[in-house]
Amino acid sequence: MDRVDELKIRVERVDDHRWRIPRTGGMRTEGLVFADDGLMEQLREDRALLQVANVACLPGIVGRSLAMPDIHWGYGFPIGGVAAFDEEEGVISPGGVGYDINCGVRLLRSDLEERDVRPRLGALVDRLFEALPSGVGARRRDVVLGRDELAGVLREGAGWVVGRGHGRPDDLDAIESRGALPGADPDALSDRALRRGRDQLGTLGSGNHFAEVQVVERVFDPCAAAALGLEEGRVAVMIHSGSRGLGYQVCDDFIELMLEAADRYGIDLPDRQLCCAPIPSPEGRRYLAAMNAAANYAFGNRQMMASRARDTFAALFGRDAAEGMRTVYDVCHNIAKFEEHESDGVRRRVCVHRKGATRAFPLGHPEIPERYREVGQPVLIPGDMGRYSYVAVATEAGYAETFGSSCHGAGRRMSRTKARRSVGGRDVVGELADRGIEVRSDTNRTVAEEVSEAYKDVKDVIRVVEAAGIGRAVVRLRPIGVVKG
Amino acid sequence: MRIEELDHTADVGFVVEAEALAPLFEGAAAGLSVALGLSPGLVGVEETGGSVEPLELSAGDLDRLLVGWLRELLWKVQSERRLPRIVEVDVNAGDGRRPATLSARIRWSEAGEAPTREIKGVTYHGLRVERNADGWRALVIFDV
Repeated sequence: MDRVDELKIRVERVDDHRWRIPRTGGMRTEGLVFADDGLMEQLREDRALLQVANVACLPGIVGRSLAMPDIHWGYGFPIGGVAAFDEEEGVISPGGVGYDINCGVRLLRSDLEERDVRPRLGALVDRLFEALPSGVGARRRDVVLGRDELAGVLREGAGWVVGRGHGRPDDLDAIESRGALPGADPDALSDRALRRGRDQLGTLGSGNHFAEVQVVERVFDPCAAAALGLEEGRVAVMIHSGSRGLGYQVCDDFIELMLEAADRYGIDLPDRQLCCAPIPSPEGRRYLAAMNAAANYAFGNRQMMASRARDTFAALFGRDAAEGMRTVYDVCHNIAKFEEHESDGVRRRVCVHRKGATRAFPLGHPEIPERYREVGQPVLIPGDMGRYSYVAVATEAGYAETFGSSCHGAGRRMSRTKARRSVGGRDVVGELADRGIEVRSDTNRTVAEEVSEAYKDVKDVIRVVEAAGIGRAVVRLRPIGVVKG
Repeated sequence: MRIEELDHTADVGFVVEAEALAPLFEGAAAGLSVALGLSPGLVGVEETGGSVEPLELSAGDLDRLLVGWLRELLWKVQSERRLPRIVEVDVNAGDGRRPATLSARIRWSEAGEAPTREIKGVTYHGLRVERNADGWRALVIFDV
């Protein structure tokens, strides 16, 4: 099979917010990128378009190889990539999920207003920094899981954590897939993966993971905002983290397995990081069982942190304040899930890989919480620590065109090296404090690498989402307190 | 031996060049060290303390051998919280019928610096160990 020639990625404008990558070389289908002229200009300096084309080469792909507006260069799949594969004829690829299996976002709303929190904001962020271990290899001393307990988390996800008193049953109503994917098998994980999971449940981690205290700055859709429990001026908490070392180890372990499998099944890989196996194969099934277990660990991880965040608010602002902290939603943005979708007039079960992309099911869909069925599934879209984040809802048109997917965040526009250079000797924490944003971080390096200018303006991403008709903004939130690893 | 940091939008990586495979793999370990936020001096430092342990690896080709090498070092640093000093390393490229092999002696110690960046994985994206005019070259990208 001819490979895609890196030098000849051609992009054709479909309309103001869609670009087609025509089939060429080994591509089995075309690519479709959601971007406006400004975002596309940035993309031309990035190799993400080649990655969209490479994904289109994989066997059993259904529909197009898609890229959300926050697309940027990843490894294998682009970050912001979405691709669906036929359940029988298609492949499952760990590279289409990522190392941080079920990295995702949780949003909690509260009845508190900014003026309630401001006088004690420093103390609040200090306590959150303590309560949510962050930084390289962050571990918990107070929660160390035995083998059976870890197996429980891997099978039951957020439900296991709630069952042990960390959270409320109604949290589960507001988590994608109710916080647990079926088919998880702890026995599919290596000893190394299990070892890494023992003491990291309830930890934030490092890099671009964060916990933020935010304020609802602007409401765009009052009806949807009311359904989500979000009101202008109210305080919210957003948590971004995933499956920690356990998930990374699962990905590592299965990439080696899948490289051998791809060779055995005669799958020509345009990029080894797209290594894969047929979904029905023993290798494919084993990876799915392990991936689901790691995904459940991530659900449990965010549930534990949400519970700790509530405890922190209770300690500072009283039990009533914590009682009002309801989970708005919790989404995955690195995952592969079996869903039914229609493509080319045929309805079928496909395995949708979302790598740095979020599920986005529209109003009426039976898989979204009942209280949201008249507005659509919330889509949580973090920006950066200096500007804002968004909550959106899906649209029916978007669902049909994107296998029910949307963007997951702002997307980086600058490498970590460039970001550190652009910061130079600036006191970023001090600058943010001057703007009323309290930051606590394990290292100055992380703060420098996560500076706002390293990211696309998420407003531009949202603009494309709305203009392309694949989503609708509900509220914008601005950060007032940030915990970073 | 020369190491150059790569400019990757989402992740971190490096290119290492050396006249032979052993210094290439030592250089890759140094690149990993820098990516972790540690000092790059993992090579040939005469120290005492800790324990010297052998490490033997084999793989179908040099690319996979390099990934395996970096993964083992990463596991020990991040999960066992031990820091490596490479005493010696020997690499054989194999020839298609015989695997590529690595044999190393590494002094592992508990004390010292702590990593300031977490690496999720050693990726195969763009990874290539290849000959060039001056010897050998390898490109590695880490997921962070």
